[in-house]
This record gives sequence, structure tokens and C-alpha cells, in this order.
Amino acid sequence: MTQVLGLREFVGTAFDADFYEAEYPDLGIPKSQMLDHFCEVGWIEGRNPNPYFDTTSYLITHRDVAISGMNPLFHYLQHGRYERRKIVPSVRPAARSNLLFGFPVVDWVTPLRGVVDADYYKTALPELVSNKIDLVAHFAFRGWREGLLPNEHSSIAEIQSAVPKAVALLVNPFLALLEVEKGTYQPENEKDSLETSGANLNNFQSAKVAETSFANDEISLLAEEFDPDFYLRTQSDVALAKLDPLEHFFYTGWREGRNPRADFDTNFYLFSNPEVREAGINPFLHYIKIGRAEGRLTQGAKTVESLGSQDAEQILLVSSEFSVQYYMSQYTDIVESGVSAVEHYFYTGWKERRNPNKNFDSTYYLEANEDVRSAGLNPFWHYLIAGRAEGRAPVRPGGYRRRILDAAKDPIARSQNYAPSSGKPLSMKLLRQHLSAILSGKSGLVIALSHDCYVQVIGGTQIFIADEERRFRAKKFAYLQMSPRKPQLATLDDVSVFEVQLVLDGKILGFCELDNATKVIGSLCLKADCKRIFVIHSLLGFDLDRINSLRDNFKPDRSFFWLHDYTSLCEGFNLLRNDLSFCNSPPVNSIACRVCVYGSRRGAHLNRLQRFFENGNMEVVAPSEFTLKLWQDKNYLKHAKAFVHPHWTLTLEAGPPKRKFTLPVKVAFVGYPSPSKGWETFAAIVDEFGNDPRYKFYHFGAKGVSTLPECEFVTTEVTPRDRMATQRLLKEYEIDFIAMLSPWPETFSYVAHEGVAAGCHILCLKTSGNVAALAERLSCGKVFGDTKSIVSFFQTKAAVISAKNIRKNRKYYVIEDCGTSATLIESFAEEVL
Amino acid sequence: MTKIQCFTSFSFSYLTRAIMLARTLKAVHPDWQIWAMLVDEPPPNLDPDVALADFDSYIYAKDLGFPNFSSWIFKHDIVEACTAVKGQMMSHLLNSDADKVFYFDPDIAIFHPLDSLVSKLNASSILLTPHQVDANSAEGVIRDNEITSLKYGIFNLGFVAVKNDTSGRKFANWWAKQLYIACYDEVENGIFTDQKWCDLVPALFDKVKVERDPGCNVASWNLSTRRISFNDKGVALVNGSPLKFYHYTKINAAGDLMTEKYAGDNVEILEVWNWYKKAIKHIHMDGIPSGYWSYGKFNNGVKISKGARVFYRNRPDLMKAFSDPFHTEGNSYFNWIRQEMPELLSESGKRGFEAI
Repeated sequence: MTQVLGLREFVGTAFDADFYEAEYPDLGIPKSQMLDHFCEVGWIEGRNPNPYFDTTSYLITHRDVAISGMNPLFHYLQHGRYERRKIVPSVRPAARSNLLFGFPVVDWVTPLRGVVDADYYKTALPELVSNKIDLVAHFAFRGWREGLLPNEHSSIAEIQSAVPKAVALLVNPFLALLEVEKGTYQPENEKDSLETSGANLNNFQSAKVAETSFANDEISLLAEEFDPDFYLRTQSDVALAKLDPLEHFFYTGWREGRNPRADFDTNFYLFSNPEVREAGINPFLHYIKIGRAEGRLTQGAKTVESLGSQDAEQILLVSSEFSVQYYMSQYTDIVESGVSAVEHYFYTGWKERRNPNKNFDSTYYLEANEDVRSAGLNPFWHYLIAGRAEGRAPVRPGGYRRRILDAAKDPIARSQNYAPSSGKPLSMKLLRQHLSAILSGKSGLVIALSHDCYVQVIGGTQIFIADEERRFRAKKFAYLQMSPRKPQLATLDDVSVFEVQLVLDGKILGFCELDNATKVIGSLCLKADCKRIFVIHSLLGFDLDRINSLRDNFKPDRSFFWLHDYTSLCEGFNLLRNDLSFCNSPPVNSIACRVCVYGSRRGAHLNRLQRFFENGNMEVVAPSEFTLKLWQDKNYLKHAKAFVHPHWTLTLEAGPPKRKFTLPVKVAFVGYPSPSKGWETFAAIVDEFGNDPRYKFYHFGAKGVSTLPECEFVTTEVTPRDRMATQRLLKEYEIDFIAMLSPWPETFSYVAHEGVAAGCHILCLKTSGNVAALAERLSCGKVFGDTKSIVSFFQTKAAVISAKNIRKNRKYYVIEDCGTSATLIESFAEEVL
Repeated sequence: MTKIQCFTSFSFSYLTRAIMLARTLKAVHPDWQIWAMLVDEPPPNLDPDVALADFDSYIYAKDLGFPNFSSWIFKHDIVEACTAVKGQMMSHLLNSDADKVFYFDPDIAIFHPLDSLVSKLNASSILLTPHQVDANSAEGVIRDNEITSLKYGIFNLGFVAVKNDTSGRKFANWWAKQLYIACYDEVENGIFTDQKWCDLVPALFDKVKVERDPGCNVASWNLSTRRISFNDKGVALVNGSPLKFYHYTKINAAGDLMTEKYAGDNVEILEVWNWYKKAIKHIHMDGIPSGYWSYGKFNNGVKISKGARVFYRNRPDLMKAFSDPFHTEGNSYFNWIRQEMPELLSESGKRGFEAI
């Protein structure tokens, strides 16, 4: 069994299903079964696996292979190419018949069904063949070339006299006879022309049209007109290697554009006669046999000869790992030009730095291997023939992690091009009026800070702030939100002018200097019972010393600092060293910080935070236990208290009825495809298992988000009005697993909660913080140590078994919103207010 | 307390790298005395006291007491010259009150305290780091690494440390003497600067310790068998051992390729590599012209070709006749070759070199 699979996989590397489908319309089977067909019966019938390998020629020329019963392509790939065995391009039915008749006959099998007597033919075969073999196809593509006759009434003499040119062009002569009968082909003139052109068909005496003798005939024919002296004079490598010039030209030389004599230019003839080129026929032979009689043009040979080494063997090797699908999808100009993808790459594409498949980078290989570049070698061919065994890398090492590292920038550089908000300037007079008006009759004022304007940007934190605003307003609090006018991914101090954007009760007021707003707020005559709440959702982009001053002037009753991320430990707010690996917030003078893009600013950032927390009496609020613990382990900031207040909780509800398990297992990624959300790991899984029928991959995301071709994209728009869109759609699609592969401990994951509520299980890394904690707490997921174990989960039966269990007992949960800072006011009402 | 003197040898064009060495070393061993050994003379617009402020002391090669310094230094190209002085400088420091002397190439950065190396010099006298301490198996990798080491030297002389005892001093004096005789890039003659000589050290001297800690002298020539990771404390580890020092050889496109080739998917190596590239760019050093080397030109400003140096060092009669070959006036080596071997004045001097 293993051996069969090995053969199929090996042959599959050089099998072109598109080609097979186009060449053999008689088969009528799905493309997915083509490879199996070729491995099982196709090769025995003499069908060809790709444009560069003629099965029948290989079997006739190498009788040992035919006797061994081995698949000839497998033999060639495994042994033949190393033994320098000759191969010839495929005899292609449509191209050959077009050359003979002037129109293509694509299907040779159907017309010959009336010609082949199966009982007779079976007895004529030298060995027993399986019942699965289509004997008509066998005769059409292979049998006649081995000298077999289709029925007891046929004779070689009949063929010889009737359609000699068909034999010369390797078109099944009985097919030609059928065309003669139909009146669509008149062989007489061709016979004359063949005779006058000197084509020697008298050797066609034997009852067998043996390929070897056919090749010998052609060589003999060629010998009469070939100029060996000219060839050796102009092809010094052939002379040096002491090769037979005639044989070299016959088998290899013409494919390399070498010329047989001074007055015949091989490339010119192939260029002028595309049907000859397409059919893979030796152009000089064609000229001798047919072209001359037809008056086809020739041109004298160029005196400077190319010593290029491209030939069918090299192309076959390249094609063995070449992806036509990839090439055609990447380079649409090739599709439009109609040329063969592999030939295009072989001759031209690599020079244009195109890639033969997604796993080989021509540009990188040439850049990294000076010897290959300077020798002008096709990089992919070099890789296959030598580079791989020598340990050379096919692509720039490091994969997507390398790309992330290369793109990593310090936070100032990263936010350099962030645009300032487009609001209008706000006068202090107007601000005072707005605040005075709105505060009358209110029980308090909330000042909330975050990194961007929550009414203009959609995202988890922004929706959370919108909820907070709504809840506070319901309690008769006015809600003033501030964000830096120019967003930044860093904290600042000592900025000459610092402007903020102000939003009051959900309405944008405009922007102003924070110092001026601080004065206005400080001078507001708030009533004694008017409560003051100060909430920090994010400090990124703020001048912290100025925020200190704002707080001092505001004199809040309570101050909350939310751990939505880890900005209070580092400006790299998700604690990914160089945006790459979770760093666990090491000491600021550590080597990890030294080599990290966030490291050089971290010391100053922490000093700013220390000043900010010093007299702030801050209450630190973590949305998950994990986050609080991590923060407390690393904490160095003075604070009043620290506690957990989750955004959501889950309550079990009735699950769906049991369903019979059927494949595929459904796996989804939810959200924006960014590395910090684990997209690249998900993409690597999809890349490996995207065509595995056991799995189906989905991507739930906002409209316009880029995705992978192997994923079904489900447009998912979460808005303050439709908070549960993700949960609803995950439920609707009956997703089994959601991939939450972020490499850092997210402080709270809405997606994880939405997924679990929708009955999905979570696939996550142990470094994923609250996600892993949730998966473990509710037994609703798998926590992996590393990405390799995730791959193994899909490779083995584990994923399917897990999915079966999920569907046996799928659980749904109701999501309950726990509130925001507004609920904290309730819970501590008696204590503080 | 053990008194440790440390030095690096370079020309002013390598100053930013040397400063990075000094700063990273001071960060872990503020008590070590760091010397800049300058095989150069300062360019006119550079104040060496300011430029070399990261070092505790500096000294010029011409002041180290080499006999016939002008004639001798002329025989070397920049790499040969900067390595040829190392033995002499080591002897010089061993004549002080130093207990131990460490040498680092200027393109090395220190990442972790080197106490383990200091300790190893208690029981031994000479500490060397081989280019490779783990064998490779793939032929291409062996060609890049082991075979290169067989040609250029088993030990990498970007690092060497000695104790101030009989064996240590004996080694330093021997090394200084050999380097005075021949510190050339002549691999075909069995010589490669100061490095190949040290293949002989374990045979010639007692108390030689071959340091096999994978955290030492990490470089492209041993990345094939070393993986870098970071622990929760932010310590960089090489095969589990703290990264002590990384040798940033070839900070250019070739170095990038070699590093990424052997780093493979171990992107953490590239984090360490990229950091250094950015860090040395951030050290601004005005006043050093591009490609500056005071011994790179005749005193009339004409660049000295490698051919002119090789021709000179192979001709005792010329060395005797022209004891200061940098001079170009009157009866000078410059005028002699202009007359007799003008091709040696060409930029490459290659033709003359090959003619020899």
C-alpha cells in the first residue's frame, strides 16, 4: 500500500492534470481522478502525463522498462533521468492530426471504436492486460506504434499504400483512413510529395511499426542531408565531448536551437511554423519530409551558435515541481499570451524573476547564490538538480516571522504618518458653554482618555467606550472623552503644543490645546454633590505630564486605569518583542529590550508612567484574571487597588439537537488578518490543509478585508447596534473551531467569547492569556504549546475526533455584558460616592 | 579584585563598531580597563580625546615600539596591519599590573557578563574560541565552515584571553614575534594574518583552554549549529547558554546573506543581527572621511596598492634602500616604482602582484 501511494505521489509531481484532461476527452472523468487514471491504466494505454514525456516512445525505446511492467514516468523520475535515458516530447493527438489533416482531431478513441475488434486485439497483445484497460485507447495511442493491428482484416500493406504521411507524423493511420473515408482528408498528394521529397518509407515493410526502427529510419533520413562537419565546427561542446553529431542533433540539438547545416536555421523554421513547434517535431526532419515539398521557407544558419543547454530533460525536471496553477494565477499576462506556463518560466520567466511555485523565490535564489547568478543558470532547475541536496534555501529563510521582523519599527516611526483628526478647532468659550449647559442637572462628570476617537473608529475598545458612555449617561453623568489629536503609539512628555480631540456625550466638539481645556475644567464651578470620575482606557499618544496636570485640576473622586493592553509595561502594548515573540515584559536593561524596537524608549516611558501613577490613587481594572496576574507580577507602579472586572460573562443555554457527523470539519479565523492576531499561523495551516477534504476553512471579517483563496469569506460587520453579529454568524455556519492563535496574551478576547457562545471550540497557544484560560475553564478548546503541535492536530485524526465530540454535545452560551467603569461606580457606590 | 585589561585593535574607519564594543562591555564590566589600539593616525578634523571617550585609554601602533615602524607597517594592508599589532599590544598590557588581558575584535558586541571566562583563566593561561565547536554534516555546510577553518585557522582570533603568568606571557611574546615576521593574507603559503598562527598554540604552550561555550563568539561560521532564543527574563540564550558575545563579521550584503542562510527559521538570530546594524548607524562620528586610513596612502596622497605593499615586503633590498616607503620625495620607493614598476601605482596593483 505504501509503495502504491509513493508511486502515485512521485508520479504526481510531474503529472499535469490540465494537460491530461485536454488531450484525452474520451475519458470523461473528473480532473481529480486523472492522476489515478494515469497511474492505473493510462500509461498502459500509451497516454502521456505532460507535454514533455511520450509514454509510448519511452516504452518502445527502453524495452527493459516495458518488460518490468513499471510505470514509465515513475521509472524515468526514479532512475531514467540519472541514467541519461532519452525521452521525447509527447505525441499530442490534436497537434499531430492538425499537422496532417489541417484540422485537429482531439479524440482518437471514439472514432476508432468501430475499427478495433476487442477480442482479436486482446489476443494480439503480447501480455495479459487488466480488464480496466480500454483496448481501443491502447491501440489508438500505443498499440499501432508497436506494430499491432486492430482487427484480423487489416494489413500493413493497406496502410503503407493509403496513408504513409500519417505514419511519418505518428498519427494513428487507421484514424487517417477514417478521415479518407469521410472525404475530409486526401492522402494522394501527400504521398506524392513524400515520395518526391525523398522520404524513405520503404522500410515500412515489416508487420510491426517498431519505434526503434522508426527512429533509425528518421536518423537515416536525416543523415542524407545533415552536415556533421558544420555541426562539429559550430558546436564545440559536442566536438569536445566526442558526441556523435547526428545523434546529438536528432535527440537534443534541435531543441537547443542548434543548426544541422549552414543553410538551415532551426529556430527560424520553428518560429515560422508554429504547428511544427507545437507538435514537438524535429524541424529539419519535417522540412525534409514535408516542408520542402510544400515550399516552406528556410533561412541560413546564424554563424554564432547558442550553446544553451535547455532541453526536454531539463524542462521535465523543472515541470516536476512546477505549479501551473500558481504560475497562471500569479502572472495573468501568461494566460493571455497562451504559451505553456512551464516553458515560459524555463526560457523567460525566471529571467523576469517570476516564481515557479509558491515555495521557490527566483529572486532570492539568484541573489543568495552568486555562482548560479553568474553562470546564468535557471535558478529553479539548479535548485532541483543540485541546490536542494547542497542545502541551499529555496526562499528567503525565516518565513512570515522574518517579514514581521523586517517591518518592525519603533513606535514613533510607526505612527509617523498617522493623520491628525479632521475635527474643527474648539474655542474655550464654547467648551465652557457646552460643559456648563450639559452639567446642569447632572449627577457627575466623567473624563475618559483613550488613544483614538471612539465615535469615529470601530473596534473592541471603541465599542466598549461607547457602552461606557451610554451607561454613565443613563446614570445622569456627562461623559467627556479625550484623545490625542494626532494618534501616536508612544507616550510623550514635554511636547511644546499638545492638542486633544474632545467628544461630549457622544458628540464631537472639536480639538483644542489640552492646557487650555485643563484650565476650563479646573475653573468649572461644579456643585458639591457632582461626582468626578477619571477613566484611562489608553495613554498612547498623550503627553503624560499634561495629563497629570489635567487630573490635578479635575480633582477626581475616583480614577480608573483599564488594562485593555500592556501599555503600562511597555509601548509595545502587546508585549511582542520586535512585533514577533511574546517577551513577558523583561527587565528594561535586558538583552531582549536591547534588541527590540521598543526597547530604547522603554526606560523613559516607564519613568513617565511612574510620575503619572505616583499621586494618582489609581484603581487598576483588569478585564481578566490572567491579565491582572501578569500585570501584578511585573508591576512597579503605585496604585490604590487592582481587581478584575470582565467585559462579558457566559451563561450556559440549551445547545442544538445532535446531528450526524459528516466531514468537513469547519475551522474559522475571525477578524482582521494581522500577525498579532495569529493570522500568519492560521494561513500556514490553510496552506497545508486547504485542499484536504477533511477540512473547510472560513474567514469571518469586515467587508473589504483581504483573505486567502482557500477560505470561504463571511462578511461580518460588528457595530454598536449589532454587537452579536459574529456570534450569530458562527452559529449559523456551525463552525467547529475558531483559530485564536495570537502569540501574545490578549487581555480580553471578545472573539473567544463570541465563538464559545456560538458553540465553537477554541484553538489557541498557551501564551494567549485569557483565551487559553477561557478554553481551559469551560473545557471548550485546545491549548497548544507551539505551532508545530497545531499542525500535528490537523495532520492526525485528532481534529476530526474532536469535531465529532463537539457536535455530539455542542453547547451554546448567552453573553452577558458586565458593564464598564459605570458598573464599578455601582458596586463601590456606598464605599465612595 | 582581579584587574582586567581589555583591548581592541582598529583603524578610525572602524570606530563606530569599536565604540559599540566598548559600550556593551562597559555595560556588563564597568570595572574593566578598555584600551583602543589604533593602527592609524587621526584625521585632521577629529579630536581623538572626544572620539575615543568610550575607552579608558588609547594608544597608537607607532608608539608600541615596533622596530622600523614605517617600513614594517607599509608591508601590510589594513586588515593585516590591524591584526599584526595584537601580539605586541598583548605583551605591552601583560607588562602592566593586569591579572588578565582580553582581546576582542572591534566588530564584537558583548551581551552578558564574562565571569565564566575570567574564571576559566584561573586554571588555564590561554583561552581560545574555535570557529566551530560542533561538527556539521551537510557537504555544502562543511565547505562553508569546516573547510574554511582548515584554510584560515581553527580558532577565531576575534577573541583571545590570557592570564598574566609564565605561559600567558610566553604565548604573547611568541605571537608578537611571529606577527612581526609575517602577518599576511597568504593562505596559499599557510599564513592567514594573526589567526592561522594560533593553530599551533595548543601544541606549543601549556594551559591552553579551548572554550566550547556556544554563547561565545557566535558568528555566521557557527550559526549552522547554534540557535538563539530569549528566556522570560530577557536573556538571550545560545543552545541554552547565555549569549556572551556575538562577532558581527561582514556587516554588508554578503554578511546578511550568510547570516540569514544559517539562521534559517531562527529569526531571533536576525533580531540580534539587525539590532547591531541599526545601532552602529546611530553612532554619529563626524570628521572621519569615508574609507580613511592614514597608512593607506603615500604622503603625496596617492593610494598604496596591495601590489606595491607585497612587492616591497618580498624585496629586502628595497626595504633596506627605502626605510620610510611612505615618503615620495627624491630617492623614494614611490619614485622607484614609478620608474621601474609603474603598474604598481595603479589602483588595484593587481598586475604587479600577479607578476611576482
